[in-house]
Amino acid sequence: MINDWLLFLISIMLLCGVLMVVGTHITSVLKLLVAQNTLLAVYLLTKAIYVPNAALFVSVAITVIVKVIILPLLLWKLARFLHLSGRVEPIVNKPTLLLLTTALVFFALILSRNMLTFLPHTSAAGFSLALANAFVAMLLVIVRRKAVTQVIGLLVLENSIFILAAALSTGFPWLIELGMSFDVLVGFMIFTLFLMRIQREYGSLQIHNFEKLKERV
Amino acid sequence: MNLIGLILLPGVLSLLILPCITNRTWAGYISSAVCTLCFVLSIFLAYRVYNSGQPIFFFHQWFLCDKLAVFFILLNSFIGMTTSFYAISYLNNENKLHLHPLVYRFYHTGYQLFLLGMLGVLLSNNIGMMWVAIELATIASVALVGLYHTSEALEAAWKYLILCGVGIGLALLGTVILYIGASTQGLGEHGLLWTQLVSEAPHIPAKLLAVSFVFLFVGYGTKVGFVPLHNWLPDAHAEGPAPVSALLSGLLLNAALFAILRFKWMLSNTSLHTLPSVLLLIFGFIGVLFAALSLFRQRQLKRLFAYSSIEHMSLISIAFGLGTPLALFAALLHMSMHSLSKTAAFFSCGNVMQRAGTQTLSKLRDLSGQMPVSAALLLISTFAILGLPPSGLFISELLLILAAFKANIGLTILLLLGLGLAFLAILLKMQPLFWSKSAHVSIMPLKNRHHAYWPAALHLVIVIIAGVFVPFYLLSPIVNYIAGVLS
Repeated sequence: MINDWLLFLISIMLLCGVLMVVGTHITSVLKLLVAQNTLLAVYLLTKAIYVPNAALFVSVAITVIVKVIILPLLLWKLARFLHLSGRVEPIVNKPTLLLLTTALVFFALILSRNMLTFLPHTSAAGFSLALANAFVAMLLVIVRRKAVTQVIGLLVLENSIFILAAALSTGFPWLIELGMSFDVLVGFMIFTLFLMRIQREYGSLQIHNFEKLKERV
Repeated sequence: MNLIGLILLPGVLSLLILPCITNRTWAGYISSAVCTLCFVLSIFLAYRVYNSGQPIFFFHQWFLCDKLAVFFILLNSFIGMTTSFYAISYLNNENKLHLHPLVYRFYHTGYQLFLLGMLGVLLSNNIGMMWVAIELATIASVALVGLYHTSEALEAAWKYLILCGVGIGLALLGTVILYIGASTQGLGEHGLLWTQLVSEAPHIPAKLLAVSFVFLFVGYGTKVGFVPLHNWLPDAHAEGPAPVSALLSGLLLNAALFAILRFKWMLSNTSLHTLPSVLLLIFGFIGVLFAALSLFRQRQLKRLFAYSSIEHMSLISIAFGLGTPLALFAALLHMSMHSLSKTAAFFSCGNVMQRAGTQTLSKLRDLSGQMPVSAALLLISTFAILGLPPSGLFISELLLILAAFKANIGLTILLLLGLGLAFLAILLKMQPLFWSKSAHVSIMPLKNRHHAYWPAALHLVIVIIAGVFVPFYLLSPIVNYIAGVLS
């Protein structure tokens, strides 16, 4: 029962990832990211209640503070500051994108099936879904020509690695998790500073402005 | 108190003190004092580890200082010290319009964070902490690369951040998979400790190990600058301030390769022991040939040296891929000599750029007449990087060729081809800078010359001394130690 619930949560997170890849409105992509963060916190909380463990509660607390409270707040402020709205078209059309995503999910399933022959079925399923989410995140970084979605892709990658660690074991030691969250936060602040500079420099967040350093033959 | 804790302390304290200091000159000197203290402590640490032969542990075995780590800590803290002095002059000579006053405060704090991150990578026995440290170093260096308010610097920093962000994410994926593999052996939280992993690796399922190593290799390899993943490297080196380019090239690449090596040796007792060597050899040869050919089409001074860094890191990974004691010796010597001479080269590039106001190779002419000291330093460091005797790089490249010759004649031919092409490219590009008499650029004098020349000169003197009297007493114990870990 509890395992089904956990699997369900991870599947919804993967669904959020896929929706982010095909979504066109920047604000909806941001909302989906916040939803995914919240789901991650719920996942960890369920696990902590089911397997009472002080370390897990600490990591739930860290996740809630960093990913559910601070990051969305910063994101919201950033979106207001940069006047983020409107559509961002992916560089390939949507059906191709969906096919690509499906292929990546299958690849993750096959990879983890080969890798985790010694594990019970349910935890292996959780692992493979988390791996699929990581691959989808990388697709998210690649397919948009806009600086903000690249950052969001990196945050989703971070999320999926968190589930990966939690899906099979009790997760990392809390001190390491604190370090990671600190890195994510500082990294996000640096990203924000750069996004503001890009906006001021070019007047938009389109990546095709970044052509000055390309080497031409 | 444990020596490892003591060596981390100055860096941590400086992170608290430096942001509060508003006086520019003071901040620079405090940063240098902290780095000097760190260097002195690292000498003590090295003396202790080399003398007793036993590794030192700290904080639940999360930190480990063995002979290999201590050698790199010595190198890192030395270069960190000289670079911090050079930065005092460099920042003082910068055009005030380019840099916001806040940048100065930000610079020294970021610099210390960067050094502390790299120290953390070298000292960590916990692979999770290693990841946190390398991410910290990356974030700090991104901020330093984007210091100038030019669109090129912004583009370089953004590229660096995104590419290395994805790369480092992959490395974390690899770390998690490895941790899961270790938890199948019932190691619990000890499954993150490298010393535990080395002894338990033969029992972990091979497929898990292979997948995690590939992720780790690609992830940390992005930071080393292996060729298909090298795109960020020339941009970040060319657009950042010269002291930052020097640190990126001289220390960060080494630290990332160091992380890969830890995982390589973890696999050495398993059925997968050839996988890391094969990967290192393949990426090494691709890197040497690609960088050698790319060198021919560079038009900017610092980009040229950045591509030369890709070439040298590839040479080092070839040597580690060969893995014989001779090759290991060559690799360690090459790593240290390359760090010292490449930082010297970037220091002199910085001086030349500040005086000429450009780094375009076709505009820089007649340097020997217009700025004899900077030109002499640049010339000597170029010769050192080219591997001409009596620089230490001559010895290490010679040993590498010998080691490759012992392994396979085909590899030797490829290696010689890459080395020859790179030599030709750098020589052809650099040679007109010094004596041709057609200068179009007006030369400005340097305002602050106290620390502009001696760091580069000191590095070059060490490189030449190491070329004449090869430091066997420093390197042989490490080679023996690695052989001990492997058996």
